[in-house]
Amino acid sequence: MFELGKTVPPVFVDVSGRRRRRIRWLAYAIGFAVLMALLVVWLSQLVGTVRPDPATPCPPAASAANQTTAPAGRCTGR
Amino acid sequence: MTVYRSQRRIVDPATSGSIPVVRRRRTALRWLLTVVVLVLFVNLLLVQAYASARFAPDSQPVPSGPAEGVPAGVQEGGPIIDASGPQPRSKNLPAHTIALTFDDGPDPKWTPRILGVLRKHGVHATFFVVGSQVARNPALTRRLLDEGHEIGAHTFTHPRLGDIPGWRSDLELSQTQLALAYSAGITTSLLRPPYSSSPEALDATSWSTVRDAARDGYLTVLNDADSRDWEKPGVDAIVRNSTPPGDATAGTVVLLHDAGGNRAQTVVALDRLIPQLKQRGYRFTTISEGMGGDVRPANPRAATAERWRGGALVWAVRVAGGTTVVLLVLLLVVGILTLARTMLLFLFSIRHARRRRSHTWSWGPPVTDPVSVVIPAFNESKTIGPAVRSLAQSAHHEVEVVVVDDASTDGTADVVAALGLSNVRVVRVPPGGKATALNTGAALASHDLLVMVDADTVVDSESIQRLVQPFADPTVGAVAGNVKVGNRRGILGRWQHIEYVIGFNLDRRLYDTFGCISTIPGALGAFRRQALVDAGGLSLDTIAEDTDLTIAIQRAGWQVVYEESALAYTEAPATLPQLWKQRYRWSYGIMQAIWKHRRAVFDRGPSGRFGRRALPFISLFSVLLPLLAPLLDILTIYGVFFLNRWETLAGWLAVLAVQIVTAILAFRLDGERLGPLWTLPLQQLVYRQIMYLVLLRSALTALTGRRLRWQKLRRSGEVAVPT
Repeated sequence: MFELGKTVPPVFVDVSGRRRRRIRWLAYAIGFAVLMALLVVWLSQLVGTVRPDPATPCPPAASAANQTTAPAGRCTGR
Repeated sequence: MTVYRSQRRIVDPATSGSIPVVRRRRTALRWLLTVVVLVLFVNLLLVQAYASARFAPDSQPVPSGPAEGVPAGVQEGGPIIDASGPQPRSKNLPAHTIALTFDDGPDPKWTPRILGVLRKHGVHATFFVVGSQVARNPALTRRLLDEGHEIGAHTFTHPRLGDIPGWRSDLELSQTQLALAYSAGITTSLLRPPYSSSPEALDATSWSTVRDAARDGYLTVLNDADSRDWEKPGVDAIVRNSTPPGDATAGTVVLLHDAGGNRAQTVVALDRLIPQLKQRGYRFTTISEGMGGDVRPANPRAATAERWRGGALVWAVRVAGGTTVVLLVLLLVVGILTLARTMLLFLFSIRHARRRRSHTWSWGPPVTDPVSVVIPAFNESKTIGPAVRSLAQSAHHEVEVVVVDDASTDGTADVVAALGLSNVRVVRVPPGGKATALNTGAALASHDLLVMVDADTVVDSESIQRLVQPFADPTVGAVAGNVKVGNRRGILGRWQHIEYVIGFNLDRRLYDTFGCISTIPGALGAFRRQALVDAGGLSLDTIAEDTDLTIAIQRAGWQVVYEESALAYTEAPATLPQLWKQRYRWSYGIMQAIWKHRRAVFDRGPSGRFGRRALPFISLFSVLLPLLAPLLDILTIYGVFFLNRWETLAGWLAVLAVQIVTAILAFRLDGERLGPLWTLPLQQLVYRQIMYLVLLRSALTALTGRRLRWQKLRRSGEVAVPT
């Protein structure tokens, strides 16, 4: 009544295993990237507290032009 | 419903299944990946929860504590406090100056409007920004600076700094600086602690906050005049509150808000306040500009490292926010689809039941043609006896039973032979699998009406007769029976019983109405021989041969219907691992069948009609929707911890209520007792999760192309027709 013993490759199955290997490496790569990204974010937040630097007193605005001791970039207001 | 595996050993070239070490290592790596995904999710949700901490409106009355420890003169002094030295210095703005300060922003809706008013009047102000808002609106923050305004810190998530441990307040301030560094390229030396007020309101707790901040280099900026705009008291009141008293000898720091709610009143009030005060001779200034050289610059440029660290923070907040939005949208879609499906179920299953029960209903003239029953069996000696006997003693007037023994090793054939029934034949075939066994049985059967039954399934005497009645309609090619769980002891049995009643009775009635039944259960189904031939018999390329065949028959132009009165009792898996294996096979098989027949959507004729009608329906409700089910759990947990706990639980209970109502309907239509429904709430906590994990696993298996191996169920043989 039907063809018996006919062999058809099963749906989805990749006999060569290439697809599976590729996806596995892709998954590992993404997993690794995610781990690294998480690590970087956590470290970037916990590595030290950022605070306004009280050690660089800025001179009164009037005499700023004559002063050279304070780092210029930190006292320009921008 | 049997999970059937023949003796044939599958050697899978795509796996290294035979090398245990490799398998173990890969399993370990798979777990590692799962853990990474989970960690990522937890992190994103935590970041989102942290960055969107709800806070009470600013300046909400805070009961002042004892003022011990607040140095003399501070409470009576100015609002700008430098507590870094041994002797704190309070300062005022010079007379006739006004510093407008805005807390809680930047806000994408209100801040630009306030900026518009300020620009119109040529006035600069000071914005005490919330770091998480900065992270969400970097361009707006940049714009504040570009338009000449000054930026101060108002912490990252707006907590009461005195109430949280030191390391957390450090983090709150530090992260605000980082967000500013990335968004606007600056840091800030100004701080306004959340919930702060005027200097008179300083108490021991808030003073220690001011002192700690000073040690870190911050200048604390409180206020002289609180507009109380957060109360939305009306434009007049805001203008009145913000106007300095006529006899003021010093300048005034005015507290306003550019975020945290509707700020329309603030915008209008500003537009009136600024010209009024200008007319009275006041000068508008930012904090550091107003103080002249008396304080350090408010917004020094940020170092490169700080900008990078800020970038990491802003992107983390952004990705977390985006993920949450995607999850919520998906949840909404799932909710709408589920609701629509529930309504369809109610509407059509009740109608279906009414039609079938009405006195006028009939399939046509009674079908009395002889019937062949095909039972594939592999090592079923425990269950085959009762199964065959129940079939052979059917009320239908001519029934032939063909047991196809697929090279059993436990004497299955002998058990059948020992029954001594005249209308039962046993055919022994070489090992070949269930589909081949069924094809063989169909080929050897004598009659044109074929019923396929699993070897672990017991039918009652009326079932076969009822099952074949729909063949009175010549367009009907196959009939699905109503399969029930025979072993309902234990919680797993009850859960499956509930699932079968809902899934078979309710869902199949709906699918029947729309002519898109996806599966004739292997446990009980009837076929016209011609329909089987047209479909090409049972195929070997999917492991859900029943679903595959059902779709093929409908594509060939035959109708498939559901006959709910033909009952069969099957033995359901009694342990979780067995259940897992069974469902793994089913869900993988249904994906295979849909994929295999995907081109039917483009076909002409009956195949195309069925494909376009049924395949999207089946994919959506049997695969996609269940795959999204974890969302409900993830967002419930998130909601309980980080959102409104009671609202979340109420939502969850509402979902449960809908399910309970659906279940009650299904049980009523099927004439079942409602007793087992008490396990339904528990089902939400274990069973549902297993079901979607299995689906996820199957989807991954399909994606990677690995061959699925499945095992035979352990049988207890305890199923009997309930009397």
